Amino acid sequence: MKRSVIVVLVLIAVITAMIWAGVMSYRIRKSLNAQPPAQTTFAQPGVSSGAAANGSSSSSAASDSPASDGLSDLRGKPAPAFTLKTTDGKTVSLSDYKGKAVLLNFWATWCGPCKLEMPWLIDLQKKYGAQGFTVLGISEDDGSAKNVADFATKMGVNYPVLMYDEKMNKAYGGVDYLPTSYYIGRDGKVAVETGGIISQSEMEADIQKILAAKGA
Amino acid sequence: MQKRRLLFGAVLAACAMTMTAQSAWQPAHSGIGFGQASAKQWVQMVSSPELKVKAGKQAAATQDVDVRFAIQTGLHINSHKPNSHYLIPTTITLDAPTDVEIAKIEYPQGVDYHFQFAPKDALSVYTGEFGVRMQVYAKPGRYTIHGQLRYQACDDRACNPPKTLPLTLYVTAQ
Repeated sequence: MKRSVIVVLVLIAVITAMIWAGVMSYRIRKSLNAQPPAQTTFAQPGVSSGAAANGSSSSSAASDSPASDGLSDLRGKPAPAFTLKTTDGKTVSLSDYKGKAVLLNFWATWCGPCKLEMPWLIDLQKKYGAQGFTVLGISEDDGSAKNVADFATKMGVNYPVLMYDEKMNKAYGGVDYLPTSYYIGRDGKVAVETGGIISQSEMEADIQKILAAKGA
Repeated sequence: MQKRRLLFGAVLAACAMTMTAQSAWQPAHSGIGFGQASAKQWVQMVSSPELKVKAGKQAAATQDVDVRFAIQTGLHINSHKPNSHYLIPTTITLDAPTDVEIAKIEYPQGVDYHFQFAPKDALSVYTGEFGVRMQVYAKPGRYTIHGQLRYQACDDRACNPPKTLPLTLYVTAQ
């Protein structure tokens, strides 16, 4: 009698565990399937995500891509303010560029794809600089600023290069996938985010987008 | 007796299902991630950390041992001799105790890698698995060697900051 009670209790526990496992599994699958692509900004390396605010079309990415982990989507939001030092020790704040269209480009000297897109950034700075556009290079190098400056000089960089700090990096979602770019409109809001190298023409299209948008 | 078996089987099945459900909470990773790379390693040591060598009486009596590493699919890391001094080479540093000497560390040659956007620029990288050969000399005994593998990983469009993989090797010299 006693044994059969124990058996029944154990069976109930087993069935409860199985039901719980099933429910959990269902919930997880449901939540994964329900994630809209627009919220997975960096889900695919190199994919440009269009402005959430103006509803422009954007390449969407698979929601289960690891690249989206831990990134806060800044599109449509004011670009986090920062004050950083340039490679030659000058202080530069994002607010210095109020009313301008800014391409915030995170890069590093050890990053091959960053080096590849640098000449494109130089060209685009030349082409659109007079229209109120600037590239701000944010170096993620831990080494000396001189090393970064030498590299930038060798590459012919014609835009300010700033040395990152942890606080700023965190404000932009913990950037550790380079290159990463934020296209900030004249209104100070992030319009486009890209993770990984994209083509020069895609970059240019994104720049034209932020130049065309009205200021605050 | 049959009841007991049934009960045991049911408990096992429930445990397996519960573990499956819990594991679903852990996201699967197959490439470089954003904002989560600080904790994630893209390279793992795949050979045994147990290294057996013949004990030598003098430092000249070194022996070769291989340590193998696997790089996550879809990624590459710079070889020990990348094509630019700005790139971060793959290096192993070992802190060998007294009575053990790592006389030499030999790295494999890298293979050429071209980014889609720059087909003319070749990088020297490791992909898949690679082995590092070390010349070890040790007096009789068992030793623990701590060290690290420093590397910097990229996929076909972007790179992650350099990382350090802690290593622990056990050398038995007889």
